[in-house]
Amino acid sequence: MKIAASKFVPFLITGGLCALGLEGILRVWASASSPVAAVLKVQRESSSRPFLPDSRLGIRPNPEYPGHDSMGFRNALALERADIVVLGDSQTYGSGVEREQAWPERLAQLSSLRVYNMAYPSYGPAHHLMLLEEALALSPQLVIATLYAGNDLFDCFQLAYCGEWAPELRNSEASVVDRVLDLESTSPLVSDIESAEGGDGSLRAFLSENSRLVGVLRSMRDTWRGTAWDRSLAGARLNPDRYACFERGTLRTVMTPSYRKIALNLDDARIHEGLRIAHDSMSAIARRCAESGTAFAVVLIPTKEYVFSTQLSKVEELGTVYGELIGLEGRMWEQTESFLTQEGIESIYALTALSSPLDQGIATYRESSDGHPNPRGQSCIAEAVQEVIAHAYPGMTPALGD
Amino acid sequence: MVTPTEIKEADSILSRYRSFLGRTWLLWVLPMVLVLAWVAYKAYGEGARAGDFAYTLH
Repeated sequence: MKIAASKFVPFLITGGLCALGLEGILRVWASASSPVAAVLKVQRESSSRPFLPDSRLGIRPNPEYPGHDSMGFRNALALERADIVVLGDSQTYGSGVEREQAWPERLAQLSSLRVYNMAYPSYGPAHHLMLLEEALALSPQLVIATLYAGNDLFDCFQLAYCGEWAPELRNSEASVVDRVLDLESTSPLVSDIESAEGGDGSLRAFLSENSRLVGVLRSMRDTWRGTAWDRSLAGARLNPDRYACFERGTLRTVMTPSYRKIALNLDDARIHEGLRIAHDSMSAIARRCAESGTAFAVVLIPTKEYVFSTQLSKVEELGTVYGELIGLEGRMWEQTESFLTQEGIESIYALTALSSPLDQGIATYRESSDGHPNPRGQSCIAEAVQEVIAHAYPGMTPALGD
Repeated sequence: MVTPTEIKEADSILSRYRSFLGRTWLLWVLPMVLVLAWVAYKAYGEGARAGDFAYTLH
């Protein structure tokens, strides 16, 4: 028995060494090549992390990270003066597209103005307020803040209530704070969101995320199972509450209504608080901009789910949860638009810009479950913003000097 | 202190392992080459789907 077992030892040792060697080769290859990183479904590796901890913002983009400027933001160069500063989240940072394709950079190309992108994933209006003085230090003629329906309310709530970053943003009524903290201690929102996204902490999930060799095996399995779209359809059939697939002609995409519904559930006191914080932050930004003689506008970015709802005769076609989500988002936009009108804040609603190309069969989002606009969608936002700037701020011209 | 007998034993194990690798090298090299060829084909060949990331959360 002992002799038989020992015969396997060289096989085990050599197999293990080969797997380690292959893992190392794939790691180096994925870090040097974007197409390889895409096959293995990993971001290109870098010796630096994309963000650093920050006592006020929670996290802050890392200047050392490839593609970030010396201030840490995603621009070709850090500017000393800018005509427009854009504050936003991943929709504006340009997650999933090249830096040149993100809408602030496209706006710069369209308008010939110097546009500084001060967006970072997971930021919301509360973060924009924290960054405002840095934005004003660039002496812009216009500050643009964004409000993305997909998770900004959650991000605002988290900054105020889930740490010591910005407790001053909490509600002035102690009973509201108590209710919110009670709810959060019973069932944290972030856990609900992670579970709606299908994430778990298993060894399989860890290997899937961290091993390049597992990435190759996944790619082989996916090829065996059919196209990405076939797999999306199969996934949606298995998890009808989590995913909803839209398909009409060449237009197709995967939506995540359950996750979005948690982050937009205004009946949850925490999300309701997130909306209040978002509105209060925009109001404070408007006041500060007015003091410094800087124009201020807000770009309202709907979720992909909401954009595609314009293509349906009945939203329930994509399921009950999807229908409920569309109702909640509609309510949020109604409240926000009424708030902005009341405050006299200029707003640019990106819904038509992102949905009208769909009428002509042009996709503004990817086929996958990615909720960010594709390069075409990013351009559409830039064009909508440029149109408003040309109309509302006709005297805006590029400032001289840097 | 390592004794001459222990050194001899270690040499013998290493020599047997080298002989094992000599006999089975194709078994290890072939899958590695195939895996790397697969990745190259998917990344640069017809199967390339660059940018098909799944960013959902933010």
